[in-house]
Amino acid sequence: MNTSEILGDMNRVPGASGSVGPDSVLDVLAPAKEVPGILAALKKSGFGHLSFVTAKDLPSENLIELVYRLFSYVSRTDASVRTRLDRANPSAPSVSGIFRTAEWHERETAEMFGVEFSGHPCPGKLLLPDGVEAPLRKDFKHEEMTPLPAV
Amino acid sequence: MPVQAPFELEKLSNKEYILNMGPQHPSTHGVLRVVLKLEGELVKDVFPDVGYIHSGVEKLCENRTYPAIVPYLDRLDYLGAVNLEWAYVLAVEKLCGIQVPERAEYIRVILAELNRVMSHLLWYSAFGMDVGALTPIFYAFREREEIIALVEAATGGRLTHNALRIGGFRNDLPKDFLPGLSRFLSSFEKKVDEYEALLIDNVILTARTRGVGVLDPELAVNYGVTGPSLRGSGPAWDLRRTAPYSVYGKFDFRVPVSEGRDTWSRLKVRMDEMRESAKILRQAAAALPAGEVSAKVPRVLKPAPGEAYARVESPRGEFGAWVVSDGTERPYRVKFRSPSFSNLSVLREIAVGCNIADIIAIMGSLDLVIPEIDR
Amino acid sequence: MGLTDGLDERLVRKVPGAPVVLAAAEWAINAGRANALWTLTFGLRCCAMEMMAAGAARYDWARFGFEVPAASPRRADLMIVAGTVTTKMVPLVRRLYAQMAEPKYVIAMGSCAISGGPFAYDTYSVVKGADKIVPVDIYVPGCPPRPEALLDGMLKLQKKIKQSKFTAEAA
Repeated sequence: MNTSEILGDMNRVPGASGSVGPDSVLDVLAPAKEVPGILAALKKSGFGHLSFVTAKDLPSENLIELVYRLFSYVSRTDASVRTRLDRANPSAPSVSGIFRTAEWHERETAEMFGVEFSGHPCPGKLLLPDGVEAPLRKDFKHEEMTPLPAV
Repeated sequence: MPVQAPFELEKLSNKEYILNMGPQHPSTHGVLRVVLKLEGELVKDVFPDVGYIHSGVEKLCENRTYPAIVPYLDRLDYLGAVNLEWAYVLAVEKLCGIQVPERAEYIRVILAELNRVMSHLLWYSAFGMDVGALTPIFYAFREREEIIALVEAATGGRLTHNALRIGGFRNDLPKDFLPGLSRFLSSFEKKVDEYEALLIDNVILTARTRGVGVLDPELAVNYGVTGPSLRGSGPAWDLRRTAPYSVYGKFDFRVPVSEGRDTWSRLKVRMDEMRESAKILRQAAAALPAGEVSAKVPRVLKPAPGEAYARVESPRGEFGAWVVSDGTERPYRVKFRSPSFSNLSVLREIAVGCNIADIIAIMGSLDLVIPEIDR
Repeated sequence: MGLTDGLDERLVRKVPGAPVVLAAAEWAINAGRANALWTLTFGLRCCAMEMMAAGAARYDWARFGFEVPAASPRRADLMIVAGTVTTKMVPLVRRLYAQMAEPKYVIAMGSCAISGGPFAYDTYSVVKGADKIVPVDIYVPGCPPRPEALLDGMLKLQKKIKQSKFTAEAA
């Protein structure tokens, strides 16, 4: 399948919009519940490698944007699937059934941003010590964090 | 409190028991805790527990200027340091639209391949120590010290080089770098043959690692495994060949693969990679063009808002840096995709059913560096 | 007295009552402890690589007596904290230190172990220095310190041990 066919399929998914960026990255923005379907379709079209799953905190728009980055060793191009979640109660379906690597990436995103991945086989803390919740959010405060002195 | 392993203690049969390995352990290569469910010596289940060196690097990078983040990349995977810095610097150069001069690209390749050889030599020593061979470390470190002398002359650092700058380099290579490099390369391949005969072809090691830790290629790809751990199972995926960055497309080198899928295949792939790196180094040193070593970069770097992801082939696999800029001099979000993170997640699948001594060999063959898992 | 005539000054100490050759034992015990320190392999981060280089062929700490890297704290005398100590690791560092038998010594190697290093600011999970957890004898600065710097630190520790006293000096 070439890029325009894949793009056509993406744009047919309800609520999704796809485009190809200047660096030939296929970018798809979709609602959270469509993400597993989109990832499965992309995997079938050759994007067999999920590089990472992470998020970006956008407090000004009251959103948390999840990002899934895929790579196709066949067509040697990237695909980036993004979804926007409500910052107060971010929840998305887990894709670890499609890409097993997402198990650990989702665990890390969950603890760093406070996102809940429904259907995750073994949720739980991965990296963080006790007493630290959602540190990568922009409004995170912790007594241990001494700010860098100004030069 | 350490995370509890999801082994239901009530359901253990009267022959099974739980054993904790690490986080202080000579063979876990850092602070990795692995909880094992054993029946005698047979491993029934494996639960890796990470996070003991988590230093919040991604959070602190949001309060550093773009050039000031480069030294942190060294501390993530200190063995493949230049490769990691390269991923981040590539991402920022993509965001800023900076074109790096060709001489700088070639020097980057030279330093990165030297780093790869250093990393594999240390892996060779550490793997030897894990399985009980205490001699390889003394031989391999002798070569490592020679390379360290070269890289230290060029960058100023033995281990945490802080070599790359956004746009190129601060200083050109010293005058005696290339003669030193060719002196090193003149005897290196013979040494690799010697080291392979010493450890990898050793009868005891072969018996311990053949058929152990078999990793199916589809499973490996599904788990996001990259690098020599993946190439030991068949797929010839090497970013220097499949998605060449910088000037890697100009070099003639083979991508070592093995169809063996077991621990021994992964060891063999790494030894072959050292030979291929030596080939690349010879070609790069011969083709090194004259010219500037740095592009003109503004003193205070403020990339246009946007995001960029750059991936490189580090000695462990695909390392990527995802940088999101909001137009200010500090990044909005930085994410590091580390190869050991995904390589470790496959441990459970390949380690169940082997003996406890095999777990050590399998973890050694995956070549994990824990700080890049935890960041 | 006749027994102690001609003995080296270092070996004889006068205490009220009679000259007691206690100091010879002190010198001998200190020399024994200093010249055969067994290090606990506690490499956490990059400094572990320079620690390994200090033990490998070129820098070779074995010639100073640090021959055996004891993996178990029960057999180790010296804990070299080489790397960043994080909050999750704190109870384990304390436990390892408690499991070591007296006399035990700690070297804080590298800036992470001295003060938190490059991770001292803007982090929520790094302890700013190993001396907040365990008592440290020697600090070896560097990021990472060269193997020669670590050897220098270890030799200073040997010097420190050789100056330990068991006897209270008579006024």
